[in-house]
Amino acid sequence: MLRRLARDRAAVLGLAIMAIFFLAAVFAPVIASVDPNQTDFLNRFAPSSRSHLLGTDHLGRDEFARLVHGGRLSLGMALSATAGITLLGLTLGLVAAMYGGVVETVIMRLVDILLSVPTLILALVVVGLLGQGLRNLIITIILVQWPRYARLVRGMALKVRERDFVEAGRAAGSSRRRLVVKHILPNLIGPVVVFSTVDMGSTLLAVSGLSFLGFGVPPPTPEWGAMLSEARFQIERAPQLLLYPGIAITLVVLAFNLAGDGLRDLLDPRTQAIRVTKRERLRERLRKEPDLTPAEREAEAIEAVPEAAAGAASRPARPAATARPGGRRR
Amino acid sequence: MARYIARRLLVAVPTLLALSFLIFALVSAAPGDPADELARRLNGSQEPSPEQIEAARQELNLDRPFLKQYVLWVKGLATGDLGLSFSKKRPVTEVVAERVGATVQLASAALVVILVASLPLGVVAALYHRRWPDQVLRVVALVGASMPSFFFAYLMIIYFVTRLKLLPVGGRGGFESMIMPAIVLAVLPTAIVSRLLRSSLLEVLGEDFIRTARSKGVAGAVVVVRHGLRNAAIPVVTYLGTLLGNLLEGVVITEFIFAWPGLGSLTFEAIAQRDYPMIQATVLLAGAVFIAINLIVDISYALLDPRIRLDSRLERV
Repeated sequence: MLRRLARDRAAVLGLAIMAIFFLAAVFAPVIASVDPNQTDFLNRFAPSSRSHLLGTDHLGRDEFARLVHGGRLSLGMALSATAGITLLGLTLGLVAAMYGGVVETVIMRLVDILLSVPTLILALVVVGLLGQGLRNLIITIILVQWPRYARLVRGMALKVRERDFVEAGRAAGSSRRRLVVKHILPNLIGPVVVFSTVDMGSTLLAVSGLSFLGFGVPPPTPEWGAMLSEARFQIERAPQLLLYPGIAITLVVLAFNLAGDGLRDLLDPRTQAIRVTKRERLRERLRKEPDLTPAEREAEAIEAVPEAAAGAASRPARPAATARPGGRRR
Repeated sequence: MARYIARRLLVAVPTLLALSFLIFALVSAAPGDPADELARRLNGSQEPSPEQIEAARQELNLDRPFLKQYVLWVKGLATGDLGLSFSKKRPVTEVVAERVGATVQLASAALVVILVASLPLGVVAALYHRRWPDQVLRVVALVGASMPSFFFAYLMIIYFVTRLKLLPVGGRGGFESMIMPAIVLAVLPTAIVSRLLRSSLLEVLGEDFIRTARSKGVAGAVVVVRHGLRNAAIPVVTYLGTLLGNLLEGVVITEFIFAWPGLGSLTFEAIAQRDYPMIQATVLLAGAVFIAINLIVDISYALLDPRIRLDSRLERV
């Protein structure tokens, strides 16, 4: 499998960029040993030099150090937020799918309500009420993004639950927990990894967006979104201060999207040889459709179209790639 | 079919109500005392007296039990009274009505840009499938979807305002002031729509009926436009709901950056200034619009796709 991934040049590029930025974030104190908050009013707006790789900003602080340490914060927040979202969404989605009944209804109605407001606005309200700060920002993003995740997980879990081997396990008397752990979870891991990877991109955008609007870490702590916000007042004199953090964010999000798409293509069931038994095919026709609302179906359909998932555009979906001018065989 | 619509409507109303309750609860749970806030604002720079704070508390119904407060608020909603804006000291409905036009204008402009840009891009990419126009679109769309909108906005400002001095930096003025915000708003949706159009067009153009049309001698362009696009539009319609969500979010940041006096910047100001009645109103409005549009999209999707119309149990393989 890894070999197949290696052949996908875009995904490899994405992973490489991700690796570079993550390593830079981890080794920030080593790479940029200058204090990113050290002001130097005699040396403001300095051009790039040996001592200041990217020059200095409007307060004389080393821009490169701010960028690297800022990356640490931005990426750290995006990572922890994504972890939280995945955990919460996965748990609640599975609980909803496995327990059904009132529990499921309660969870899914909550999901519907939370998803009825555009996420940025909801995030603004929550973080506006909680207040500034690193922890509040991460909590906000987790609270706002888990519903989408839970909905997808529930849909997938319901589909897997209907498959033969799960039915067999249930007939053999396996407990719900055993079913989940042994049968359902392993089938979800692939898509979950893909979603999380691509989601990291949107989470980073959310983190830097909220910081840009003033709801993140308080100054002078460097963070890419906050740096952009500070730099906009220097637009006439030093537009490059806007460019550095902006390009950084774009590159990392791009990397996440590329890597995520590569993973998605890798795990695309259409490219995998799934041996479906005749009995399973018959059951497919007869089984009860999981009761997804049209919104959920749409959400799934959109997630299945790589272009629209998480707002990221990507490589062609497989059916399109096999479309021949002479007509397609169904 | 009618049952489907009725069912959807039935779900939408309680969702909206529940949303209003959630917002109300959230805002009520915020740290700080709204009565104190209101008294302070009304009093100017002086410290409000306990009587003034108490008066404010009564004015805001904060002396009633929580649920009663909510009911009163909903009643106010029904009669069009959403309270007084803390920071603007005017009725909320008045302020909102003032700024709706600006946002509608901006959103419409953005929609025009999206349509005008993504149609040719998507069609060209599909027709030149796998050749360089297709690859270029793929890269451009990917970058467009990865770039934060606020960064792109400042890129445009650096170039068109600072360097070329061609466009105004912000505010709602003539036509020129609308160009940059509309484009910034349109970037992400254009990237997505053009890619969606491309892949669905590719699928449709491979179908047999296209082959038939071509063999009948129908001109290439007509084939693409009349037969191809009409069918390829369906998945794009699916995206419309999300598109609106993207626009509603994008509007907040874009209006903020370009100082466009619309509902987006109003929402942000309300939150930044802890203007509780305004926050409740704007968030509820955003939610209501979002729910309404999704409802319309669901219904029109059902109308467009005969499979859903005829068979309510959609088989998804």
